[in-house]
Amino acid sequence: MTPERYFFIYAFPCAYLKLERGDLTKKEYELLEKKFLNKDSPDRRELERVFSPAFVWIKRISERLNKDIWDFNVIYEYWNKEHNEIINNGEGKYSEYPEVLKDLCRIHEAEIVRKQEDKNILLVKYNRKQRAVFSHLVPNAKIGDKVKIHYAYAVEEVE
Amino acid sequence: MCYAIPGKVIEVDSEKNEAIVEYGKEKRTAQCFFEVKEGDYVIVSQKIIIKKVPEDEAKEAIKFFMKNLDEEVK
Repeated sequence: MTPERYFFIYAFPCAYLKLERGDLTKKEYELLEKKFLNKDSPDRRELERVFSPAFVWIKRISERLNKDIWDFNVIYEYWNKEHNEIINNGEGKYSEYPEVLKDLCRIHEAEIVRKQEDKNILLVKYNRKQRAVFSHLVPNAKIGDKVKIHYAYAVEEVE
Repeated sequence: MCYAIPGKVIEVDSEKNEAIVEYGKEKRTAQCFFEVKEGDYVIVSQKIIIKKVPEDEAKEAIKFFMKNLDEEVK
């Protein structure tokens, strides 16, 4: 997987929030969704524009690791480690967010408890909570498998 | 209406697996994939209920979003 696609599969789920806030037009959102569902990705410039707040933190990781911001390890580190720590530490905009929103923003490792295949929905559990998420990116995941979730999406299977 | 705002379930149709969710004066219909009951607070995204939220957390979030909306209007 390219670093652009890896960044995008985790970032896209919060694009719906941007649409409802008016930060994205419906047309912009639909173009992103099409790429998301078609295993494609916008180019680096577009990703940096649409998801600009993430790149403040990604730049910090790139400097620490002494690697380019688009190095796969930098993007991986951001979504798999730094992202939740930033939320938990209440950095930046997260200082004001209520717990409900922070829980949606965090990446969780969740176990699949039911599949609703006709609707592309998975019911998952994590930290004694349950959530319904879209399954488009993990079509082969089975009940009992673990997936990473972000907002309303299962993003990838946990190896 | 931001989808991270919790809404309150005011009616459940268990045959259709649907619920009516209230946000102040606005009401939306959403599909349920787990049990919800009247009075539950939920988060809805793309017309599905994605999670239930404890009442105290829901009220904290509603207060946060209403304050932000007021500031945007000002």
